[in-house]
Order: sequence, then C-alpha cells, then structure tokens
Amino acid sequence: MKKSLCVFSVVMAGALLCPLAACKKEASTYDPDIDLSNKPDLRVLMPYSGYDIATVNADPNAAVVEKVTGYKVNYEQLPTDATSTLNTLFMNRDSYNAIKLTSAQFASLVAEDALLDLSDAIEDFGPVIKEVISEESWGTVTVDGKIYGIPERSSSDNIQYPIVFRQDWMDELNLTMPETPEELKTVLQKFKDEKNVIPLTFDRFTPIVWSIAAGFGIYADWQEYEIDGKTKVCYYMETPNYKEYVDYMADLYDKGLIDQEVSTLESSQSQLKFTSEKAAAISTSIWSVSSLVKGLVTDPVLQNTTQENMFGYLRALKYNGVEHANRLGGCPYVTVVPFYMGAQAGYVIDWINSKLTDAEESHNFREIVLGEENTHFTYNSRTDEYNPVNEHFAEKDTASYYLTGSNEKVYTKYWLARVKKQPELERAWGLMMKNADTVGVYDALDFAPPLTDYASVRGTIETYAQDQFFVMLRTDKGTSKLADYLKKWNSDGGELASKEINKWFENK
Amino acid sequence: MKDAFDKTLKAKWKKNKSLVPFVLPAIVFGVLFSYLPMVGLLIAFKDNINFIRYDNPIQAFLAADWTVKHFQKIFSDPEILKYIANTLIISVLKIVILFPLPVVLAVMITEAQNRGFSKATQMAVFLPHFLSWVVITGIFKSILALDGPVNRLFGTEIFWFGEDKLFRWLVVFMSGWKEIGYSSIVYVSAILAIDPNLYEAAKLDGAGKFRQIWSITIPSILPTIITMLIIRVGYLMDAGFDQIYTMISSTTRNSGEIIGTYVYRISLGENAGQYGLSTAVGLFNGVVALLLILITNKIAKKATGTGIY
Amino acid sequence: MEEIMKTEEMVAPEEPIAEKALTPPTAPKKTMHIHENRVFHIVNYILLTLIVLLCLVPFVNIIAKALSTYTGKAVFLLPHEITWYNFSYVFTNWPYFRSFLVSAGVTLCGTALSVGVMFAAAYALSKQDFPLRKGVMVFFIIIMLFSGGIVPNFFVMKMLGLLNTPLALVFPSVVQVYNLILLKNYVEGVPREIEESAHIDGATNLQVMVKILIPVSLPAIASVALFTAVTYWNNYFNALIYLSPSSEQFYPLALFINNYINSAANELGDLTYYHQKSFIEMAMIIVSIIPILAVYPFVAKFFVRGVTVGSVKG
Repeated sequence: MKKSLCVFSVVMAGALLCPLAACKKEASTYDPDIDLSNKPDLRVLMPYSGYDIATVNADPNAAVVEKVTGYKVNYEQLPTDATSTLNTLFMNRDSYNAIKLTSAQFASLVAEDALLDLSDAIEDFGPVIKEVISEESWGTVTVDGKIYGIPERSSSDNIQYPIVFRQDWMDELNLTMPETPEELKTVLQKFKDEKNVIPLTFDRFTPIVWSIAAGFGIYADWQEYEIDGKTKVCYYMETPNYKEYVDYMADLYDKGLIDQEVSTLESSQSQLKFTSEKAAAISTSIWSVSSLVKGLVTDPVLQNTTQENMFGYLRALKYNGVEHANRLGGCPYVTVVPFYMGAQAGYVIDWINSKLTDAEESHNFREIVLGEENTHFTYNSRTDEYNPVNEHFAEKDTASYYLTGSNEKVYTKYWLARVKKQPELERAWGLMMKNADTVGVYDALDFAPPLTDYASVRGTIETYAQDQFFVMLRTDKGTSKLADYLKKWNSDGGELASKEINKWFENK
Repeated sequence: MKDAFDKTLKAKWKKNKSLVPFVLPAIVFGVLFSYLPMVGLLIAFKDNINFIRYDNPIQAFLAADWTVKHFQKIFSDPEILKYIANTLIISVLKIVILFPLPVVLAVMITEAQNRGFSKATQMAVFLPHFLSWVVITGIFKSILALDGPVNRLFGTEIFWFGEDKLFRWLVVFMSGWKEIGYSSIVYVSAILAIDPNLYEAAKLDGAGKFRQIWSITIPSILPTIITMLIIRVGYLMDAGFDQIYTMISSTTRNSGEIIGTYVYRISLGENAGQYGLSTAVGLFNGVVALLLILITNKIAKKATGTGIY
Repeated sequence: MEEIMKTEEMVAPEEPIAEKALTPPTAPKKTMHIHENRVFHIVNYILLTLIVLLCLVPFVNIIAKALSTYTGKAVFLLPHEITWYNFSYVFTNWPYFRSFLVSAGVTLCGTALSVGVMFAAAYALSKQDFPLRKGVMVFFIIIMLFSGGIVPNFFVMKMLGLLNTPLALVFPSVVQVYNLILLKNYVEGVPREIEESAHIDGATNLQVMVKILIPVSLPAIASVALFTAVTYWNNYFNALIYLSPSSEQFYPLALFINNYINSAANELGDLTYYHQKSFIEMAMIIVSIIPILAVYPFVAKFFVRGVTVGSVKG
C-alpha cells in the first residue's frame, strides 16, 4: 500500500512538473485589428447586485444598454466576499471581456500585474471616453503612463458627512446651529440636561467625525500641511491638530455627551438610536437621511409627504473663523480587461465609448442614467434641471449598477433627479453642497494612482488609527499615550506609506 | 530486532490484507484533497508569489524568491507575545470551563425520564449551533446593550462589549452558549448506548442517582471524553477566529486580540495575492497542534489506557 | 435562581448516604433514595428548562424580527406590526429555493459518502493488528491539522477537472477525521466475540461489517451522520473557491445567505425594501434551519438506550 502511495505521488508530481519549460510570464497583447461591424457578445463580470443573475440580465436598464450600444452583454456577478474568487478566476483564465472592480480590488490586481494596458485601445476606439473623463480621474488608473482601466467617478464630488440634529428639539430648547467646538459642547450639554437623551451618536468606523474635526483644521485622511516651510502630506494621526481634536472628543465622552457605546456600534445601530428618539444628533452620511426620516415618521401615510425642516445639518465647525469641509473625490469603481483578453479589448472600449456618448444626435448616457424624456424624467430648460417622473423613475433605481465609467460632463446634473425623489434629502444635499468649491477640501490621495506600498498596508494602518482613537477616547481619557501609538503606527507601515505618498506628491 | 519487526509486520499483513480495501477510499480521498494541496505549505517560505501571470502554479512557485520573512514577521512584533498569550488564555479558559459542561448536560438530558421533554431539550440546545457568529454577536449586542434588557433587569450600567476586563469571560460565555448543546450530542449517544442492566444492578444495590452517574455513566463514557479532550487540546492555538473577529472592538483588543485576528488584521490591506503570511501562520499552528495531540495522547494512554490511536 | 441553589444544597450532603448504599439496602435507606431521586429529577427538570429558555431567547428574537415591519424601533421579543412580507419574500425567491435544493443534494450525497468511507476505515483501523495502524492514524491526524491553503486546493481541483461542478462541494469534505476517530472508538468497544463467531461461520469482512457492526453502531453512526450533514449544510467556503461566478446555479444556501447579508441595499432605491432587508435576512435564516430541525427527531430515534450488546465502552 505504501508502495502504491509512492508511485501515485511520483505520477502526480510528474504531471505537475511536465510543462516546466521556462518560467516566463505569460504575454499580454492587445489586438487592434477588429471588425466593429461584427459585434461579438460580451461577457462582463459585475460586483454583487443583491439579486439573482437572471434578474440582473433581465433588468430593463440592461436592455437599454444593449439598445444604445448594439452589444449583447451577458452579465455575471462576483460573490460579496470577492477576494479569492477574483484571484482564482484570473488563475483559471476565465474569459471575461471586462470586469467592474472597486478601487481597492483594482489596486491589488494592478500590483499583481493582472490587467491589460488599455492605452492603445482607448486611442483607437475611445474618442468619447477620452473626452468625457477628466484628467484627474485618469490619474487614478494610470501607472507609468499605462492606463489599466476606465474610471467611474461618482455623480458629484459630495460634501456628505454632516451631523444631523433633531430640529424640533433644537427649536424647543432655543438652540442655534453651533459654529465652534465650544458652542457644540454647550448644545450637546443642553440635550443631555434637558431631554435626557444621548446627545450625539455615531458608529465604530468613525474615528474622525468630519464636521467636528473640521473645527480643528482636519479635513481629510491624508492632507497637505506646511511643515518647516515644506508641504508634506500627512495622515490625520500625524498632524499636530489631531491631539487637540482627540482631547476635545475625550472630554465630550467623559462628560457623557457622546454615546458611551460608540466603540462597538454598527452604523445601523447608531441610526436605530436616532430613529427611536434615544439620541438627539447623529454623525452619518447624507444618503441615510431618507431612511432617518422614514424611521422617525413611522406612520406609513406620512411617508411620501414633505417633512418640512425635520433636521438641522451641521456641515462643519469653523477653524480660525473659516469653514472648510471634507469633500469626497476619486473614482469608486474601475472597469478593467484581464491581461489575457487583449484580442477583444477593442470591442470592450467601443462598447464603453458608446455608453458614454451623450450628444445631440444620441443621448446614450442620458438614456442609461435617466431613461426616456417625459416617461422617466422631465427637463426644465429654464432652470436646466432634470426632474423625476415618480411613477416610472423607480425603474431607474438600478441604473447606476450598469455603468462602466461615467460621462463626467453631465452626470452630476442627471443624478440630481435622483436626489429629488425625497424632499428632505434634496434639502440636505443643497445645504451641504452650498459653495462646495470654496468650502470643500479633497483628500490628497483622492486622485492618486494605485500606490503599491500604500495599498499593501492601508488596511492595517487605518484600522490601527481607528482603534487607538477609541482607546484614547475611553481607556486613556486623552492623548497621554499618543506618541507611543504614533510610533507603532509608523512601524506597522505608516512610515512606508507616508514615504511613498510624499514621493509621489513631490513629483506630481 | 528489525527482522522480528518485519516478521510481525508480514504476519499482520497476511492476516489483515483483506481489510486494506476498507481504508483505501479514505486514504485516496485524503491524498487527493488534503495531501496533494499540502505541497502548498511551501508557500510559507516564498515572497510575493504571483499565481496570476504564469502559465501554471509550478512556474509561479519557482519564479518567486525564498524567504523566512513571514515567520520573522510573526515573531518580531513585540505585541505578538501578548496576542499569543491572549490566544492561550482564552483557549485554556474555554477548555477548563466549557469542556466538562457538555458531559453534564448530556447526563442531565439522558436522566430526564419524560422522553418527549428529553428530545425537545436536545433539539433546543442543539439549535444555537446553526447561527453564524455574525448573527449571534448581533443578538447579544442588543441584549447586552447599555440600555438593553440585561442591564435593565439587574439595574446595572455595564458596557459588556466594550469593557476590556470582561471581554474574555464574555467570549467564553457566548462560545458555551453556541456549542455546549452541539457538543453534548456525542455524549448523549454514548450514554444511551450504556447497557441498562448496569443501572438495574446498581439500583438493586441501592445506589442513588449521583452514585449511579459517578460510578456507571462517567466511567462508561470516559473513552469518549478522553478522545474529545485530546482533539480539543489540538485546537489550543485556535481560540475561535470567527467569534472573536465579530466580537472584538477597539477597546477590547488589549485582552481579546488573538493570533488569528491579529494576522488577519496585519494582512488586511495586503494584496490578495500575498498568501505567504497566512500560510506561515497555518503551518506554525499545525505544528504546535500536532505536538500537543501527540503529547496528550501519550499521557492519556499512560493514565487511562485510551487514546485516539 | 436562588431557589435552585437551595435545592442543590439540600442534595449536596447526599454523598455519604450513597456511599453506604452500596452495602445491602435496608428499608429506611431505600425511602431516602426515593426522596433523593425525586429531588434530583425536580432540580434536573428546572435546570434543563432554564437552559432551554436561555437557548431559545435569541431565536424568539430572530423570529420576532422575521415577522416585523420596520418602525424605526429595536425589535426584541415581540414583533412590531406583524407582517408576512419577509417570509413571502423568501418563499417567492427562486434563487433561494434553488440554493436550498443544491444544499440538500450536496448534503445528502456528501453525508452518505463521507459516513460510508469513514465507517469502512474505522472498521479496519479498529483491528489492533491492522498493519501500520499507528502510521495510518497519524496520516489522518495530519489531515485534520494542516491545510495547503486556498491556491493549492484550487489547482488540485482544477487538475482533477472538478471546478464548477457540484462534486467540488462534495469531495473535499469527505474525510472527516474527527468522525473517523469517534467511529473507530465506538467499533473498538464492540465485543470481539460477536465478530469472531461470525468469521468462524465463514462470513467475509464486508458481511461482518454490514450485517453485524453497522446495526450495533447505529447510535454512533447517527450522531456522526448528523455532524457531517451539519458540516455540509453550513459550508460555503468550498463554493467560494471552486465555483466561478458563472456557476451561480450551484451556489449552496449558506453562500447565498452570506451574499445576501453582506450585500448593501441601495438607500436611494426602494426604501421599504431597504428597511425590511435586515428582517428578510432573519426569515432566510429561520427557513434555512428548518431541514435540520426536521431531520433531528429522525436521527434522535437511533439514540436508543441499550442497542449495543453487552458492556460497551464509548
């Protein structure tokens, strides 16, 4: 029996070792000679949709894409836990013409050299793509002059993390919207004393409450600072202002002005505290406003009526008398072609090119995002606004899932139609985006290319910084150990990332 | 000596060769689906292996550099000692506190004379095993919330999930809640297989319930208990990744972070292609586990005459 | 709780009496034992009831959520505004049902195969003079402790041509060493004489195993089969590695539920669905436990007192 085992393993080893001719990387080539009049079916892999794949393929928005581009597309989707699947499908050389990735998945596949360089294909087949995607967005997918994907920028660069206050309670207690950290403290104290509720809640993934940190001059994870006359990009934890911010927050926590359970709360749990009237204010993204409204207005009849001024929004506290706020930029999704699928890459680019086309003669992009004029939306030429036609617009709820890149020239305007579905959300968005171009501050890395070292330690250093914030908030009651934590942060990869980032920044 | 050994082996072979086909399927499955992939443990000694860009895995393997840096990484971090200690403490607490309970529960279940009640109980205690840790932790978080039912019931204000000192006990309690019922099944089936005549005889001798349990039930299922214990000890280095991963938060890492969650954390952002570190941890854990099993088995054999082989 | 503590104290000084009880019984002592037994049973029932309640509370919570409409308040033991929306969503969801069938098929085949293979091996290894017995046991223990990791497993499955087939969900979990050890210990406990007499009658090993050992080992086989079934039913990791996105039709239920729970509903989409989603998850979990609940009483039938012949260890 032992003998048979031996023989067996030898055979197996042989079978594995046979093709051991040379250890050279497999080639990756793009074929420009394709016939665009003879369109093949495309196999496209998408992120998890929440629905069965048959539903995804049968969605009216998929039909719209097929109609305007002339390409028949078979969509497939990744599982939610996509890491291992993504790797194995590349190892197996699964023949997907295109894959829509998140920016993090994109960075790791670039590091593995798994993607096709699309520069030539875009030159040959993507005139519209080149035109409607901004230089900034191209920066996020370009490494050493090679373009590895089509970036999909979000609808608009939003300022989107306010503190949402119960306006009725503020009115009841005669409170006005605070502008400085001290004023905020007074307001929260009032809530605690008079209403006996949790003054402010947020979740365990929020070490930096943007609207409060702004009051200390912290506006982004990675931000430019003048240090010794030189501009350097620093992580929030490294900045001198961070100490003041943490001491302030620890004081709030100690006085019971911040939810005592904050270090263990999921965002849904903190929302539940707000909607069940246990908390007076919540730091959250404006996109949850409609669900906060619905949670508070439990009467189903009232759901669709206007809730006038239900909430107050604190966009940002002022720092030295000036208001700045974190503004979200960058491209959350990237559409790529596997390195071994170069033969049909031209078709993929042609497909995306016609999806992004939005001109007098063919409003392809508008049709995908908004649908048909007067069926799904109406256009007000006086104000240059698009409005949803409510009974049909629901059909377009899933439209953004089918995008592979966005027409940045028009997307913001189209997308507003969607915000208008809910009056309170529209109001919130309007308040947040007021003077956005002067108030908003981008993260220094929002439009950075995939940085290998940073990508490899990012998760580690972000979690570490987040953890230590809550340790200082609750256990240390202040910043007495901050220097130690910073040292550990650096040795865990912070230093490595910081070096790479600043090197890129200097040569930008 | 060697000749004698060969001879007995030959004799054994001759006598039992007809039994070989009985183990063969298990061995074939084992070789194909466990041993063959185990070649991959060598990845623990490779740096930045790229399986995507090469025609086949062997080429990718040969193209990557040899390294011991993954092992260095495991042992170079000054905090790793603390996390190894946490792992051992939580594991030992789980064994000491939770290992005997399924036996007790099994005895209690089998002693319940009403068969319907006994069956219903078995099923109820068996249920928690089917919930994933994400769900369980979610439920316990709401039950143990600051304004949750438990704190209200006792008039306390304990922040169960955020208190570093309580964390390990909470881990043990929740792990017990999930697994005690499930683990007791083995013992229930073992106890029910005991010859009822033994109890009859004891009753005639006038032995009370506790006496019967102590001198009949327990000795009868002792081999099962020992088997389970040896296997359990083998998992000493695994203090329950899924559970702790869902329970832990910033303020409880100090006493709750274990090797598994730590490695997951430091390799979180790492390119998905870098398998070296996790393979290295797996290899290290496996070696420790193997040693532990061999040692406990030896001790058990000496002390009670039963082992797992 | 306090009450129970007291009763336990009452039972505690009992030990010395039992000690004496081994001497031939006399009438008064016997009544004391009857008393002792009654207290034992009462305490036992009370404790078991408490344990059952402790196990069930979270389930009541899950069921309450599965029956609730979102109202913006936390649901605990009682549902808010009872609705069947969540369950009807689950029952009208074809992919859920399809995954349910896949899981059922994989679990049935896998359990039968695994228990069969493991029992056969346990039978051979229970023979003390089986050649290289120790070595073979170590061979299996190593399987239990070491794993090659995702990539090597993937390539082996690729080499065997099993990728994207349901067999990829069945084969890797066939060898269950833990179960092998349990079965082996059980079989070792069966008295040799029964087997030997059969051998003298000219029965082959296979006949002995099927006709004699399997019937007496039913309690052990039943519990091992249950464990195996649970392993198969809950496993989604194999599907994650061995099934590509194009094989969604073979996704087992555990992976389906995992996907569903991890997916984010669109806050700008249908708000009712967005809020009900967490409750729909609960309904999915409840429905997914039902098959095991249905099987359990059937399995428990084999846990019958005194099946084995004679004094048996293990």
